[in-house]
Amino acid sequence: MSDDVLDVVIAGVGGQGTITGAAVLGRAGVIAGYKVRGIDNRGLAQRGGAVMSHVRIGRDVNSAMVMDGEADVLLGFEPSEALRRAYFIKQGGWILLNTKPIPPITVTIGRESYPDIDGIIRTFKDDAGARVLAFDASELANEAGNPITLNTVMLGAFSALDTLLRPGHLEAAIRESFRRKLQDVNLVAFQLGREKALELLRSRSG
Amino acid sequence: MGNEAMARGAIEAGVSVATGYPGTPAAEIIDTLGRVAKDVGMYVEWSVNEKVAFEIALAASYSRVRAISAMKHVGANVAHDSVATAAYMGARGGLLLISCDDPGSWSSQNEQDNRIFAMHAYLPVIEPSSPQEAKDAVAYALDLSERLGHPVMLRSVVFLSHATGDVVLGPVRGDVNKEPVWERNVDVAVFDARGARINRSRLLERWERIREAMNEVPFNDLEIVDASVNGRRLGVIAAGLAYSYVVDALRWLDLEDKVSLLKLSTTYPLPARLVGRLLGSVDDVLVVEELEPFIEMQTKALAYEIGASAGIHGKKYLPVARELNPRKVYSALAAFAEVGGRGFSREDALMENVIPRRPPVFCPGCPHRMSFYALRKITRSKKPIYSGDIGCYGLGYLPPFEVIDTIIAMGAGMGLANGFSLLFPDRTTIAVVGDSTFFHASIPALVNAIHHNRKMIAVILDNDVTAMTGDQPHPGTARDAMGNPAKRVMIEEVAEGAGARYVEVVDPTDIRRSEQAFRKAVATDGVSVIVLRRPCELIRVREKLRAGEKLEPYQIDLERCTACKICYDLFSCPAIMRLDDGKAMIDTDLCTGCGDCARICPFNAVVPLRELEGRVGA
Ligand SMILES: Cc1ncc(C[n+]2csc(CCOP(=O)(O)OP(=O)(O)O)c2C)c(N)n1
Repeated sequence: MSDDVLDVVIAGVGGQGTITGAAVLGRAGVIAGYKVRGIDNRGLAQRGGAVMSHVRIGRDVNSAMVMDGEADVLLGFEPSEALRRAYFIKQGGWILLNTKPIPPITVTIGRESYPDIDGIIRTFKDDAGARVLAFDASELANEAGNPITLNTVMLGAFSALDTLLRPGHLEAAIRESFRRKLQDVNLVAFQLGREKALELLRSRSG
Repeated sequence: MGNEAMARGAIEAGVSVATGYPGTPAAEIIDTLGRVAKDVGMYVEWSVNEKVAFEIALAASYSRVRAISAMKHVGANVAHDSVATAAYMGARGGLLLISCDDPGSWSSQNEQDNRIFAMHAYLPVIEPSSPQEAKDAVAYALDLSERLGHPVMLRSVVFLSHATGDVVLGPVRGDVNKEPVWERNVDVAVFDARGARINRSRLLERWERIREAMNEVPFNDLEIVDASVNGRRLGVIAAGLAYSYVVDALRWLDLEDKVSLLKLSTTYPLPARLVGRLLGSVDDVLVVEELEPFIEMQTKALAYEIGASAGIHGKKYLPVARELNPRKVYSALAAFAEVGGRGFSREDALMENVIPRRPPVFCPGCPHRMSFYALRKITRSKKPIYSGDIGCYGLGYLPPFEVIDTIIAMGAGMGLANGFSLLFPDRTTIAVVGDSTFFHASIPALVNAIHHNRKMIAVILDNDVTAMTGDQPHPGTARDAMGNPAKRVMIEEVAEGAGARYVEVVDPTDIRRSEQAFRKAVATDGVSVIVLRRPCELIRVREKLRAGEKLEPYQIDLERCTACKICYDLFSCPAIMRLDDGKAMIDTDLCTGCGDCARICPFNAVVPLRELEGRVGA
């Protein structure tokens, strides 16, 4: 709710690496010299459920939870999960959306239907009043060489936004967070996400 | 993470013994300590249940070393019998019970408020407000416990235990006794009538000193401001984690310097002087706390005692059920102070969007799926009563399996089965129980059923670990919490030793044998025990990937698939999808290559992907 706080909500499906993504983001906040608070809504250890993390970075943050309608950025790792958490985004906030769906079991066995992706994006823009960058981040993670780098692709895209954090903070956090073996592929994924978002931002303003 | 911070606090405080039984949101405290036990010279144990865990800690404290025992809120119920007398006994080495409550029941069967448990057991309660304070409070509470000679409870909640944040580490204390000392003293350790009466008086004397000490605990903080809002002097009591929401909300509402604020960390017994000072300085107070109006009631009683006239409010503005969050606290403060604040109609409208539910499901390759597929197939037509229990396997109550009818509390599955088999002797009663659950509290109920000659089937799902809470070891696992080799206690030997009529161990992968075993159990008079043994798939996959091996997914041969629906309707693996024409397809990114669907497909239409690709290529 103030300019010197960065509120981020991350929404996805268990197994997508959202919790690690949140941890890297929080670490970047510490590296940048801010106070950091966050929560991981883990639910049970089972995979495949809806998961959500909050990260709050700033000089004076107390609550670890973001207030409804106050997130500066929503990182949607999965479209329907991003829609589930859309009530966190503030008017004019940014939603970065991975457009690759993971249909829940209710959909794969034909009991419920999956919302249309264009409709989701319209809801984000028209009803939530958010700005949206939508792209297939899962594809970029594969391109980087490993699907588990989805979280760093998303953070790369995030680094293209104008926030309290500089890209260097995030890159340093990635180096600190991953074992040697995984650092390079994650830095490649970060760049791919970043370039994609910069490209989308240019085409918005153009 | 809050739980990791608490683990660090235990290390800094020189704890010698740390025990627990797994449960969300507490599990990572002992998980974390188990990993570093050898490096920090601590003994760390996943015990068979919370009662034994607490009793080990109590023995350590009696032997003059420091101990913690960590459990989820309902876990404390299991330990309660010993906890309730521990306060009579007092503490020699610092003794801390960490209770992680679950407002919102995110991963629990209820949202009981363990501060009331602490009141019943005469444990003073400290509630931290951040991960940093959680670390510091563990160390402080152990000092306090030793100084007062009394066990202490630290109460965390799910969104503190799972909170992340920057934490400044402190030094590891070197001056704490780590050598156990045996000093027999029946006066404080034998609770016959005499012991109970003497120690009851001693307890009440100690309690007076504890009351006094609460006023000095550094995590409490009182700030009185000389200001009023709309003509009233206002005060807020913010307890534990709620403090973090209150501070932000007061700022957002521009009330920061206009409201007196008591940050309250010792929620039982209340620091009477601090609360009294606040009550004397304001016209109205709002108590912000999660779950029951526990502080609110104590504050009202105190106000009566000291003759304070301030209005005391709490649950009038805040819900009793579920966790607090910034919005609830913000809205409550706005209403209490009558200052308006922002609305949430845009957010409420966004919550109305129709989104497909994403219920948790058995993982691809989970052995429980295969067990339940066979159990349903053989027993369903007999219309049995399935008395289930808590664990990953609890999902078996959902379609398509529906082989669980009740889930109450750990151990209650076998216990209720004793009751149902008594009440409905003509129906088959089947207890459906996990392996960790079996050891935890099911054995007495099994023994009871055998002793009373009930007709009952106990189905034990043995996946080698306590999977639901993060794969912790239990007495049937060949390693302990510190990674040391441990003796496996075999479920079938326990059952045979107790005198079960028919005992069988099968691998659920071998569906023919498990079906046979279920058939035989249905036909057996007395108690049958069927152990379905196959390790949790997450472990198999993890070990395979660690060894640098690849998973070998399966795929549907569409030429053989007849759209019979069995694999996605009755088997319901998240890796199997329904195509528009009713045939099936496997998401090879999700498939772990367990091969179970290939075993149940009547048309042999599920084949290893490699084979299928080979054929297509040819
Ligand atoms: C008294 C109590 N302690 C702990 C828990 C947390 N808990 C839920 S299920 C479970 C055990 C699950 O293990 P297991 O029986 O092996 O089944 P699995 O999850 O492996 O299928 C635990 C410890 C609880 N609900 N109640």
